[in-house]
Amino acid sequence: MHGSRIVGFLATAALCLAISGGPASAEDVAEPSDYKHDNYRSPVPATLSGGTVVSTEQAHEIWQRGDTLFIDVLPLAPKPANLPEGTIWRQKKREDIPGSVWLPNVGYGRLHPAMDQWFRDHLERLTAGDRSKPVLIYCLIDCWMSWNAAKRALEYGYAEVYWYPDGTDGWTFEGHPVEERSPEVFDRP
Amino acid sequence: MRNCALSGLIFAAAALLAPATSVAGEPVWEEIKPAIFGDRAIHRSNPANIVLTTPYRSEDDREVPVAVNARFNDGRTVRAVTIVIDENPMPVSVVFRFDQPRNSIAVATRMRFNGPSPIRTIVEASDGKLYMSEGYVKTSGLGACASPPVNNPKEALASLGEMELTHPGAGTSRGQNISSLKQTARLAIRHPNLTGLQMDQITLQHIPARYISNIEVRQGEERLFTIESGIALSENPEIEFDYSLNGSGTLSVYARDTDGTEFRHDFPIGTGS
Repeated sequence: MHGSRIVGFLATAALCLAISGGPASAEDVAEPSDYKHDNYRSPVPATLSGGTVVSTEQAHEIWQRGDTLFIDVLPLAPKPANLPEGTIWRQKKREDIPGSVWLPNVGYGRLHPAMDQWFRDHLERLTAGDRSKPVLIYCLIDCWMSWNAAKRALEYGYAEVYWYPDGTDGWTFEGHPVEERSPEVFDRP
Repeated sequence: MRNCALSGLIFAAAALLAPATSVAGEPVWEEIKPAIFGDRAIHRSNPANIVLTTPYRSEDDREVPVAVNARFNDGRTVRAVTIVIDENPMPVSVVFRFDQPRNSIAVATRMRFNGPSPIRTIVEASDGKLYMSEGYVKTSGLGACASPPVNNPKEALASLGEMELTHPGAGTSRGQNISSLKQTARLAIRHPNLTGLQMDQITLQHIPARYISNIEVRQGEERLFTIESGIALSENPEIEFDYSLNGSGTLSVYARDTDGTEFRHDFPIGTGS
């Protein structure tokens, strides 16, 4: 490198920055044909075939309209049954988009048949059996579970499925309100 | 796989100290503290020169190296050391209780962090007073407690409870030798330490919890310490501890998991293992 070529070096450096680009964009992640089965906390695709991907702004508009069922699919493991007596167990508080329903664990790649039925039954109940009712599904940012769950809702036959990839991370970042939510209990054998 | 994750932690002079978190605004600690310590006062002064060593950023959330060193210079001894990871579902991660009066202790292990979290150690002195030091670990967000076990379950069962005890640094110029009274040992136990939060990819249900909950280490007839541990101890837990030779020539380890399964092993010491 030649000391006198300062301008040239800076120009080259700028070019290098432009070529190398920033962090991987959503377009870099292809939409798989099947559900995602592992590495759930990793960059997600920009599309969901058959569904509509929404930004925080769009999700907020939909929320204000008030006609869409909001579903949170953040996973939650049950408190183990065999803990030694006196063990302190703490469930982290979940703060959700107001009015939404928290159906944990329905975003895994494969569901146990009982869990799959539980998801179907709750959606059926919450839409009063109307498959045309719009449903919006979210979780956290960069989490495949909401993508999986939205894909699943499409396969169940729901006609208007929104996938909100930024989830509560994007929602709270924009300062929108949240409220504490308890999960629906998985009560199947 | 892990370069140095645990080895020599106790010796490490240039340890990475996590920055102290602010005293105010620790809502989780305020919530769980009464359940662990009731209304006992916990002092933030540091007469025991407590050093809690963790990386600020974890390389692998399932195996974060954590070390605690403490030394009283005022005649008091260390009765117990508790480690709490606020954001883990089982925040009380491990409790060491020392049977022999010692003015200093050094322990280290590898722990699971479920997410970014404050970590704190509370040292109980021989007069019952409690002193706390804290740090913070930024994780990659794996949700380590729910991460599937690394090892094959059949293999894990076959080697369940197998133990190894080494004296890191023995034989090196920096390390210990047989004639030195103070020794550092590393105990490794094969156990999946199932957290109960892991999803089985075959059955599609959560794998029941089964983890080592109690460990006792004796030197000859003398019990050195007991450990109560939870799901924060990593798969195939390793624990480093220091102790003073008492001439008996044997370290005996007893461990028990939440299924009630017991494991025992005697290790001759002073033979350069």
